[in-house]
Amino acid sequence: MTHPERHSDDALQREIEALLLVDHSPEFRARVRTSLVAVPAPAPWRFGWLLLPAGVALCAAMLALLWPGREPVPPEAPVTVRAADGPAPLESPAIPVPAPAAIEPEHVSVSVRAAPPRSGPPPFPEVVISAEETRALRLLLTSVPRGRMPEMPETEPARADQLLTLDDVKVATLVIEPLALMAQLEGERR
Amino acid sequence: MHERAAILPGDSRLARRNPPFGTRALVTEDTALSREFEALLVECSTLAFRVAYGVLRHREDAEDVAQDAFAKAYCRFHQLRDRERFRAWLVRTTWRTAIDRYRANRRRFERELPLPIDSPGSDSAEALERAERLWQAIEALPEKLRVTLVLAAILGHNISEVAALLEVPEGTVKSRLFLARQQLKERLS
Repeated sequence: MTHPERHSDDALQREIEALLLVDHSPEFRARVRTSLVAVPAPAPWRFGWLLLPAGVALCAAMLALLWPGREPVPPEAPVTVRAADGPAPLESPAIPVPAPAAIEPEHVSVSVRAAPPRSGPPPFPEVVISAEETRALRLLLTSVPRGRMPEMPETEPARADQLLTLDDVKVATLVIEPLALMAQLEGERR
Repeated sequence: MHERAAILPGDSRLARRNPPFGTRALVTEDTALSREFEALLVECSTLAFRVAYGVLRHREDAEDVAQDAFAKAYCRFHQLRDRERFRAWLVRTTWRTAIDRYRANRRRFERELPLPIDSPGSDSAEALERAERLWQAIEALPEKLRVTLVLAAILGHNISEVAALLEVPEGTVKSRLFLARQQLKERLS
């Protein structure tokens, strides 16, 4: 910076200082004190800002507890796949899994309860289970928890003499309509 | 003597029956805090007033703004952990409040009257014209350059003090002052 520029900067600075060389009135501080009397006293506790996140967390917890329409969902039992004679089922060791309730064969029963009477027509036709199907279903339910296939009653294989021979097969006689009728029809057309 | 009197927040009953203007000395629960603020009021009142005057060029408006700034500072005084930064805090608050007041005045007086500006004393016409041109050039400066220039021109602040008040590096203050003076000279020439 050259000397004239320096001199110019100093002169400019002095001019600005002269512009701002203004003092407040003697009553100014007294006015400030008077106004501060009306101001509420500052709280000496300096950790008031901690109340804000705590209040927000409390409100969130209360909202979560009191939120309507949310019912607790019962924990679902894990689905385990057990081979017939294979190894133990794979289960996550970290998640405790309640033991499946043992189903005693003698206590298993399939009961069809009558639906409560409805005013309108039923949406689906009524399912009718025959006695054989009921027995098979009962057998299936008792066998699955033990990991075994249900033991079906064995049937004896058919003997050779019980099979039908070719002579026993009766074929109905094939009847062919006579062609005269067709020819007669054609003649009439001519 | 009254300048060392304690600030008395919160006890309006005693304040009402207290007589002389500006000499109220009440005992509050937080007297130490009030005394500390009182000391800062005495120390910084001229600073706040001149900062406001540098924006508004009007003594009464500047006093109102400085008073508002002290009230704001008092309300939040307990939150200020580092009391060494009170001056910078007060300068920022005063500057923002003064800018708001200036803009409100400009909007209001654009429709009615010219802005209220203090007229200098018995200077010559040439000096008055020069001062008016300088004020206009200062007002035309960008805000960052303007506040730096004003702070450097009041109370004999040096570069490091201005840097502390603005909480910027000293190099930033130097460059801002250089740019501000350059723009002023261009406008005044």
